Amino acid sequence: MTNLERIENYYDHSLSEAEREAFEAELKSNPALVEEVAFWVQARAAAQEEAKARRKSEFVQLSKKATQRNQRAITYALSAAASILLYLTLGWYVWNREASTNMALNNEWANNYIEKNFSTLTTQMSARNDSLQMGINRYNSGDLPKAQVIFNQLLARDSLNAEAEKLAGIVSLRLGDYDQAIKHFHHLSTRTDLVSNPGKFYEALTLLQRNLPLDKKRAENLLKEVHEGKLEGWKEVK
Amino acid sequence: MFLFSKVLKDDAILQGIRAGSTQRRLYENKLYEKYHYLIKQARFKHKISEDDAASAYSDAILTVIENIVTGRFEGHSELKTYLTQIFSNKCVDIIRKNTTNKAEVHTNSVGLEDALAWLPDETQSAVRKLIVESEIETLQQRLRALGDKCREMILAWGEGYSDEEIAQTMGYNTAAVAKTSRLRCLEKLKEKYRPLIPDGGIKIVLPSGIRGPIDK
Repeated sequence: MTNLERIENYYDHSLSEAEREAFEAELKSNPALVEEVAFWVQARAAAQEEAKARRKSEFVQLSKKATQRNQRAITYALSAAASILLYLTLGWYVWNREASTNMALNNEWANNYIEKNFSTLTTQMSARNDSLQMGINRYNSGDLPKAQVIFNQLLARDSLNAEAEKLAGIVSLRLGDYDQAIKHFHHLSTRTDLVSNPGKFYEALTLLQRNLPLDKKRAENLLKEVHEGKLEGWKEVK
Repeated sequence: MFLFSKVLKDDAILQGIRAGSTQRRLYENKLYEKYHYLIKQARFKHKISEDDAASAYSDAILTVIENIVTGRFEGHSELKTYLTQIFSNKCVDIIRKNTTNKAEVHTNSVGLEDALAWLPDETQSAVRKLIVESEIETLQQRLRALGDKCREMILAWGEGYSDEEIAQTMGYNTAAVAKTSRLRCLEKLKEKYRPLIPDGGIKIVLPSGIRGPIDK
């Protein structure tokens, strides 16, 4: 057994009690063995230091990789976020454009219909010189506020006058008083005693003109009812 | 895909390091990577450079590994808490070193002291006198000049791998064979180291009562 092996066994606790005592006794009298112990202790310390230095340089490489991975992760996360944002923006743009297009078409359609049909009112066949005819005349001459007053007075006198209700709604629509127009047309649409009732159709036109949130949806539902029920104006609904 | 890579639990890391053999290094690296973010925190907390923080972190990891392997870390605290405390001490060492040029407070030469403490008192002082810290650096240089296999064996020994683990890692049949080879490597290191010493040997100052060759 070499001295180095004995020293190792001494430190490993693998010497017997007798061998350990003998070793320690020899240390007192054998400088060469003391020198070897000193060497062994220093060699082990050197091995530990060298191993640590090597591991530290390996850790430096690991650190670089970890930093690169983190940077890549941040880049990927930012790219993913940017992609999602881009898709959302594109989606919103397409959806909004489509919605705007539909709304524009519906408004345009409603405008066209109103311009075509409500610019002038048909004169009553009887050409009576009554309030209704007076109102129509005022309307056709462009005096819409006066026509509105006349139709409203008629309605005040006879709330069941469907023609007056319809005309009051139309003049309100032309004046941009959409809330009032909707009120008249809605009231008209609830009448079940009429042979022909344009109430729902006109209410839908007015809703499209007013164009508040949910107006379009309400107009679509009304137009659907008009189309399915073949109510007045159904042929205008595509 | 690394975004979704699995982060090992501390128990698994501890088990892997304690298992030794070839697995140990893998789990050591896992430990290093898992708490790598502490470097960034330390930079701001202690206001030190990234290199200093990374160096302190590596030292802290090595100390934790050593304590896990030797059983000094018994798991009474969370691994992260334990590492954070040691890392913080290492950062303080670096700050002191940078500001006052004082040597580190938390010395690394615990192994050396342990080895000396194990000797009988009268021999301890004799060996202590023979040990010069600068000689350890010389020995490190000689170690680098050894053949690859010898160097690897001695470094594995320095890292605390047992002869059985060295045998498994380096392809020796038994731990005994690995030990014999390692001791031969130590002999080679001693041979490379000796010629540097003036007069062919170390001047030994023996404590009173020990008779050296000069006294004969």
